[in-house]
Amino acid sequence: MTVADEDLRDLVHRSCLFLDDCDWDSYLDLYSDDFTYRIAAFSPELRKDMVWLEQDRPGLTNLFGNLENHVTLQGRFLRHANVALIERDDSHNNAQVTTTFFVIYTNLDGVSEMFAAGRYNDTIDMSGNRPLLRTREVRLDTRDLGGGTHFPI
Amino acid sequence: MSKTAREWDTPPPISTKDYVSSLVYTDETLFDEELEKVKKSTWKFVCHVSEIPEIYDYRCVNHAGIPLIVTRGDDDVIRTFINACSHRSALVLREPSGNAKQWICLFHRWAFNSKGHCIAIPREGAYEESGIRKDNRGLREVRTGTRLGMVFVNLCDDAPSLDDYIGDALENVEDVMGSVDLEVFHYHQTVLNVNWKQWHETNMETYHEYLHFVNRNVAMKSKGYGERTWRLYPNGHGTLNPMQQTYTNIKGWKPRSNLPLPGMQANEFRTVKIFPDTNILARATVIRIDTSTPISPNKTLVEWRGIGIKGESDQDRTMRRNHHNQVWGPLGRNLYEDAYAVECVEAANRGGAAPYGVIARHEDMKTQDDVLMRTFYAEWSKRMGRPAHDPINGSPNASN
Repeated sequence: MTVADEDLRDLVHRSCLFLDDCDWDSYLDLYSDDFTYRIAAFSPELRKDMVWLEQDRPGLTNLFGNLENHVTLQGRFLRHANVALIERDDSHNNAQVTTTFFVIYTNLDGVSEMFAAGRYNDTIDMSGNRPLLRTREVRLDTRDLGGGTHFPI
Repeated sequence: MSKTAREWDTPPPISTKDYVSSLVYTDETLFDEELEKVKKSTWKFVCHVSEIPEIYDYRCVNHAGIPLIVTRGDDDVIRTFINACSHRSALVLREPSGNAKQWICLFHRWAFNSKGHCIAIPREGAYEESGIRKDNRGLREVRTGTRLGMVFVNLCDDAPSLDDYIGDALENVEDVMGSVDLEVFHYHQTVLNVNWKQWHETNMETYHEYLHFVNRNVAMKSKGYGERTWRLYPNGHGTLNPMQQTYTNIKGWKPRSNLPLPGMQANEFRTVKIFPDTNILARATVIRIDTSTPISPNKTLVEWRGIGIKGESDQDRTMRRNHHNQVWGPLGRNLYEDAYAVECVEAANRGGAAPYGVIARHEDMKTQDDVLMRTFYAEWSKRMGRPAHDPINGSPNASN
């Protein structure tokens, strides 16, 4: 199956919409079985990289499954993503996709504010009948997430 | 029974040691006094030695509204200076961390070294008439001490030594933090909409653990949870006896039995509180230290650090990091719940909705006793010269 650049953009955008809608099953369905998901940021305080979340399929599935048990941030997240760069390696059926994003949080009073900004660095597997995310690194510029969040970014 | 306005505003009919006035969280005058009488006269954790590992490394931090530079000199001694140029007070260093043999103020190019000496003043001759010279314009040095790799500072030159102040309060983590070199691998901070004491209360009592899905399952359902006892130390510090927690009570979670830190058993949990604002927690394989800096009565900068073993393999570090992030990171399962709960308290206290907080659990100093809360406010009252149950109108000599 030929995967067009538009299909890769669609995959990234769907990942954002499914997270916005808390549709965890649909979100996980965008990933390959052997995926890795990571949230990272550089710390000017430590002068080194940090990893703030690292999960595989069982880990992320477990995380989503327990969300209803937690006291979580109420309101909505809205992710805005711009697929900035697609680098295809058709001989190996994968593509590196770089997306800039920001996340707006709107609280229960309807007040919106910037929650986070950064990049998605994705490796997309194009070998199957549809493209799937094999690795996603969420590279955060924002290092102050307020009291924190239970939800992937 | 619900209460009338008068009943609500009347102090609870209990010992004055068993409640605090909400004014301790909201009053501007008390806040300003706290900076002088509590914050500036006690030893403050500012960083870990691993954050300034090399000669000339520095960290810029803030304590009680004062910007500070913590640095390792070329004699391997860690010193701290007020981060204000001795000329006209500009910040000398402006990045959170770095390495610099000389510190050159961007404004007028006065220069300093890592011992706080002024080493250059452009066109110094113009000061001859006034008597200003390099040798009388050094930076203000701040008392600095280190215990178990933790760097503490004290803005008061007359305060007791760090060793006298801490005493034996770190004995519960001497083996964990003092056996091998440790290293900070995680740092994050935020400003919470809370009074600084409200944040620390989440580390001074355990019965808010009902709030946490993780703690309800991992801790509260574990053998011995309720049988631990608090140990108190002079100057308001405290610790809770260790216990082993059951991480597998949460489906899909694994035990913390591989690579426990020195001195720790598999799945063991330890906690130490250093008055007034630093908390040390160890969950078998990883350590967290959090500390706070007040900004206003209802805004507090909180910093969190995750600590592992220096020089360990990538594989070991990944395990410790994942254990840290699972509970404590900004995407950890517990952090938001604590932050949200105390912001809910502040939201009610802000407008004077609730005049008193009750700290009246008495259970023979067992796990859910409020004894450390009462100890904290007794120390606060002593230093403030005001009783926490009635800080505005109460007798200056009354204690809490």
